[in-house]
Amino acid sequence: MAVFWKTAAGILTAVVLVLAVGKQEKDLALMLTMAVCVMAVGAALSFLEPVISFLYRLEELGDLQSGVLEILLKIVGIGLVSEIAEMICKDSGNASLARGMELLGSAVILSLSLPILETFLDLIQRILGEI
Amino acid sequence: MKLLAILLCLLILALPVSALEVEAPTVPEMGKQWMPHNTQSLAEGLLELVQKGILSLRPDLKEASRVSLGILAAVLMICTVQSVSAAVKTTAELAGTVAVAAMLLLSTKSMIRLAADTILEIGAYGKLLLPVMTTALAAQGGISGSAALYAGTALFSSILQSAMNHVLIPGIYLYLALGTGSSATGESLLKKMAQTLKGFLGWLLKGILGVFTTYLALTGVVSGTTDTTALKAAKVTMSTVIPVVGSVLSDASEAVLVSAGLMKNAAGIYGILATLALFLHPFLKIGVQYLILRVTAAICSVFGSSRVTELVEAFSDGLGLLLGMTASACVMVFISTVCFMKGVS
Amino acid sequence: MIMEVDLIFKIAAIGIIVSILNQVLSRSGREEQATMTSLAGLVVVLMMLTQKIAELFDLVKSLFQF
Repeated sequence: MAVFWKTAAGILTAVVLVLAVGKQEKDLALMLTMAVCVMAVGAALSFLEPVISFLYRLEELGDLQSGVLEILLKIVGIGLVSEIAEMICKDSGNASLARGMELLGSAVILSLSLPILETFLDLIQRILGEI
Repeated sequence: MKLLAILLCLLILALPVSALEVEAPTVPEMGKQWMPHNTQSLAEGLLELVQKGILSLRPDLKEASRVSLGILAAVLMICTVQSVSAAVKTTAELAGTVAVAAMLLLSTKSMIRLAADTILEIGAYGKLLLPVMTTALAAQGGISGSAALYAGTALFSSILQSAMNHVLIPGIYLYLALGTGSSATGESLLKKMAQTLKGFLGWLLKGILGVFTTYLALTGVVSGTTDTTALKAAKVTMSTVIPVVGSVLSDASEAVLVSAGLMKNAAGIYGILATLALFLHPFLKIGVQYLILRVTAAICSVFGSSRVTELVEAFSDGLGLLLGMTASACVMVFISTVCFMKGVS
Repeated sequence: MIMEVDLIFKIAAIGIIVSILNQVLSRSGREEQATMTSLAGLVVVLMMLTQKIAELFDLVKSLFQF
């Protein structure tokens, strides 16, 4: 829990410092923002570790196919990173870069979802095959 | 010569009486273990049957709970993953649907097969039982009534069988496929199609039963009402416990239930108990699965994954249709038998 | 990876130093040196940042099973 307080304090400090530095050196201010963002995400992820092991426990409990959870987690990771990157791009005024990042993220997520789509089609075929 | 003639006449007169000593056909293999020992009294036989049925439910309850637990784990997993990142929403719903549907499909398939077999067995037994009852009634003098009753029951039984094989069961599978598709993709069109199909299947089942009971009413066999508490209780139980067709069945059974308790015809009682023996265990088995799925859907709705909840509800609706179908087949034979026993008014 | 507050202050400090140096150099007429100072500051912070980003990506990879 100390991590949370430290991180929150760090972010608030960064806001002030960005204001201070941003007057003269806009680029350095942006890099300061990026650094703080990266560290905040890292702190958030440290809290997610037990959640993920809980998810694995659920998967075992439910007797689910093992591939599904891994795919979902990968997609979560990619979604997270692309979202942060997009926001930073927008902050620095590069809307086109943000869009590029968004596209990249969506494409990768889609390609990762393919096995699940195939399983879905198999399932529908099995149901309709009984008719 | 005169003596011989008188003797002959006596013998001829004696024939109808001896024809009353008919034997109901023995219960087939499927129902043998559920037959009560007391086949003389309907009430006691019924009690024994129900007791046996309920006591045997434990393994079914366990199995259904296991599937339900798996579904809850899957839903919880999907919701947790979604709360971390919004980007994963579509894939998570898709994955959730696939996992849950795959889990449910296996048990639902075996339930459908069970229901189909049960209806087949009841139909086959009915084909053996009804001629016996017809003979008994005809011997009592109700020749035309018995013929009409037999013809009607045979006709509607076979209509129900063909409807089941060609329309209802494929319809259930199609409904499940549409439900899975709509839950995976979120397409409202698929959902509407599934609802329409479900409505149609329910309507078809109710229709067949409705025409059957109307036919019985027209042949004058079903008549009269009464206000006994037991009868009202039986009516309410039927209409609430049996999905889809419960209300139609309870209306139809009202009149016959009045006279059912008074029946002393051993063959008829045995026939009814045998039909119920065939029907009760599968019905309870499917019923347990149905109830547990309903509870699971209610719990899932708490987590907020509405699409997967709808999927679970769709599967439980399919089971509900199965219950209605099986109950209809059984009650058809049941009502006809009691009508035969009651005789023509 | 916890919030390393010293890193934040380091970057902020570099920013302030660079801006002060910039002011001083540009006031005294040495524009190119001012620009070079800015660039140098940028590069230093970039190196620190890249390291942090690499750490983050490693964390994401290990956590989400890549």
